[in-house]
Amino acid sequence: MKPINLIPAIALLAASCDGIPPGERYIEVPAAKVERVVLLEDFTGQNCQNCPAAHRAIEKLQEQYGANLAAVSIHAGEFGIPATNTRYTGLMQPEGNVYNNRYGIDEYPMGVVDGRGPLNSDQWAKAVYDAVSKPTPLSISLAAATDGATVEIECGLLSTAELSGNLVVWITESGITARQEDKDLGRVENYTHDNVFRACVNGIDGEAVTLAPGEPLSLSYSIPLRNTATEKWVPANLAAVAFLKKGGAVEQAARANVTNQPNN
Amino acid sequence: MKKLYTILLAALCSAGAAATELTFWIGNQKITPGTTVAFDEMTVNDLGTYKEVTMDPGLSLSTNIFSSDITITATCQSGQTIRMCAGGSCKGGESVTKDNVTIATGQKLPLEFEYVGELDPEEAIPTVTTLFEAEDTTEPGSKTSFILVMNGKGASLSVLPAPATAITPAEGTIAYSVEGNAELTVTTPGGTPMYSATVSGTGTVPLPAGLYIATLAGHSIKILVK
Repeated sequence: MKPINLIPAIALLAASCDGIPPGERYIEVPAAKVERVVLLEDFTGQNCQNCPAAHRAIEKLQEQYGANLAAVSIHAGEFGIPATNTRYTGLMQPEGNVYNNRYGIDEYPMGVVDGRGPLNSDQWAKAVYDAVSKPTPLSISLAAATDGATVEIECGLLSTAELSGNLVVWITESGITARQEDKDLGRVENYTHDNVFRACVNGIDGEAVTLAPGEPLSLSYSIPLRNTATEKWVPANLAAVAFLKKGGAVEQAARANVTNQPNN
Repeated sequence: MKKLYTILLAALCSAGAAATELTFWIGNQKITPGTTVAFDEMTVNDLGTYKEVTMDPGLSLSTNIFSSDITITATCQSGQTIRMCAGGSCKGGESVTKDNVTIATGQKLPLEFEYVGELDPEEAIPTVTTLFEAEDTTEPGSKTSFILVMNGKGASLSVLPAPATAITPAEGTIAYSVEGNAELTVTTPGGTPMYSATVSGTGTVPLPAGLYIATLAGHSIKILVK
């Protein structure tokens, strides 16, 4: 049995409490001390009507954290539309489903912040706030350029401590116009999809690396621009995202827009 | 003073105690537990090389007492993939369960349930039959259910005749009677399962003397076995 008539009791108890001075009614949360670039993996789907709200949450976090947040929208699962769909534009890649299944995600939207999750979208703000202030010995420099046929990626790693893990490099694309279900608007045919996971550059699990303190490591990668009947990348909208994963947690991340000229 | 407030609080709590009652709705129409409801409205978009069929009955669930422990399950008995987004995140599949759903007193929470199918132009639009169940997991006996038949043969919204059911106590047993197949579960008021099976026709379930909650075809009653 559940009690339902608590309102009079609560009112009685509340009446016995002292009023709180206006200046003490809110507790200000201090701005996060930024120590790293945080990776936010947003598992989403074009048929997921509640996912646009999560996309808007990502936009707000990007406004707040700027270059210290690398957000990637990974289309996956029951609400994803395969990129090979011939009827209309789909954004779901097979690798996205591999990552989705590893986290055991079966409801959307769901997020993973620096390897921690899955988390409901209303938990992302706090998770990013907590993650961005965690110190890390690792810095990653990232540059990416295209000559119209391939994307060349240069990745520099430098750690102040001995560190080993897997460096994973992805290609993402923003500004993709494709359908999206929306809880309030129904089907939006010309929805703009941003930060969409497009491809793994160096394998689903990336490349194992070992770093000695103070010794830089430079790695180069190349991936052809995808131009098929169902998937055409727009070079100006591409970005590279790199992150080092150690034991399931992300140690550091980086993001760089793909520029329209080869690296010198 | 503190003792007075505590006494008042205890008195109000016991006076206000009530059982959780969950109710399914289609639009503004309340659904009687254990019934089978037909809903035939749909949207068909002819897109040339294929057609897209959407069936969205506008289901919702309400409760008479606030709860954050509600489990809602939709099981498509006809094998299609269904979707439900109640409580925030969206799930899809032949069977979808949303746990720890919160519904405020008197709130009608939209289940955001739909079937969407992409069919070849000549392909028949399926009849989608789904069993809906809802339960406050802290309240044994709160379980309610109904069956929704979409694209059946009836009018846009109608209640199909429910199979006749009866549960009666007898010495050391409960007797049941049901048309067709139906799920029969018996638990103690504390939630301990005593019996669960799909039954048909008439039969008896031997039980020790005591008070039980019997649920037959989605309809629950308290029953005393002597």
